[in-house]
Amino acid sequence: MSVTETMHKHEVNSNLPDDNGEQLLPSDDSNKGNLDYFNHSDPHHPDHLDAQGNKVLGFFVYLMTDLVLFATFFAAYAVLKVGVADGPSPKDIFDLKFVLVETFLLLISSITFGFAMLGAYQKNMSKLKLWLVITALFGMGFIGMEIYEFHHLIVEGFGPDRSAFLSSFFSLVGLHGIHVTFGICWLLFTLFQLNKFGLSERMMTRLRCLSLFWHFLDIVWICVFSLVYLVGVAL
Amino acid sequence: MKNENLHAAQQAHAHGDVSHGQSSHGSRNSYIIGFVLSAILTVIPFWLVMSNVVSGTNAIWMIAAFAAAQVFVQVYFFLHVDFSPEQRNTLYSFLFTLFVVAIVMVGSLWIMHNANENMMPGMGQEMNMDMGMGEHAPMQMPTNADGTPRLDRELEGFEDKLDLPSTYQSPTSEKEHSELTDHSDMAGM
Repeated sequence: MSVTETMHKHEVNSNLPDDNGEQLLPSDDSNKGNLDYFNHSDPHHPDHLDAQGNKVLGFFVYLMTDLVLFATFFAAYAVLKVGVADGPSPKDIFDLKFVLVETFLLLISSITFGFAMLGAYQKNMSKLKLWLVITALFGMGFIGMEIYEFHHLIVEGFGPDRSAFLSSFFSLVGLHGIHVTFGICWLLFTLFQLNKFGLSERMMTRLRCLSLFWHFLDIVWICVFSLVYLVGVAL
Repeated sequence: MKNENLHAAQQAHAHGDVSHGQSSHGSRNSYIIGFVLSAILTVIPFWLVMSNVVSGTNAIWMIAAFAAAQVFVQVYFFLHVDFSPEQRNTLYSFLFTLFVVAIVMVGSLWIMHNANENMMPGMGQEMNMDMGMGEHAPMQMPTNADGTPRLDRELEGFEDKLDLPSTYQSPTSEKEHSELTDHSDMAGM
């Protein structure tokens, strides 16, 4: 209990130099804030906040490499889309209304994660947990609908082994689905960690990384919805 | 003085607008604006496609434009990547990644389009060839009267697609070939 209190106090203190720094030195140097942290913060870990900021940036760079991975899957799909092997074409198998509901589930989960992060910045643990649970439920709804869609297609004989188009379709959408599934596991694990560690600085960094991951998956899904489903039906 | 600052910081916390700098996380309003814009940018192309307002190549460009707009809306309002100094590194890595993604996408489509055009004469842009799933869709082969495959039909006219020297004699045009050999002694004319 005392550990949590100390951490909380430390965080409140560590925000002071940030406020002062913003007013005193309005320069455009991105490292300025970190230098101020260095001067004022706890002597036990002088560059602690710098390390936390770097972790978030590092995670963002990982997400960018993930984006390149998705781009290769998109490119493979775009090239193989016409290889239907006399099987179904995109127009025959896509149910746009179903996919629109999926899209909105993921979009709503994105904004609920935003509310969770606002709760985290306000140090409001119950608000944070409530919105995280809601986010996880929307994510599970999305994954459930996707599994239903895949199952439906495979039962009808339109599995990934049917044609080049379906192979690339299942690869791309499945890759995104695996990411979301992993994100839900990570989210549940984070809830468990929040119960154990409270809102420590380290947990804030983890939450910021997870929120980047979650919003990133929503952005990738926008591209899937538009370039795979809408274009597939429109052509 | 210090207590005053502490108090101010706590108040700021209660309002949720100061922690790791203003730009690294949004406010409630910015999330709602981002959500509403995303919803609009999702529903418009959906409606365009469902009501058959657009089709063909125009549809692709319009859908892609709406998707790109929504990507930037979400990157700005949800990922909080903007032009502030604190976000410079994220902004640059994002823009560089967009560059790499463009190379991967455009390059792949370009190369495969050219490969289809040049390597599969007669198939054109349609790549409806069977991808090794013979039992589902047997490829239509030209046949003789007795049902045996007419392989010569596939070869017929392939010389036109090649840049052959003018002295080349087609093995499939027997008649021309025999005429030419008959007059081979008059080649000096």
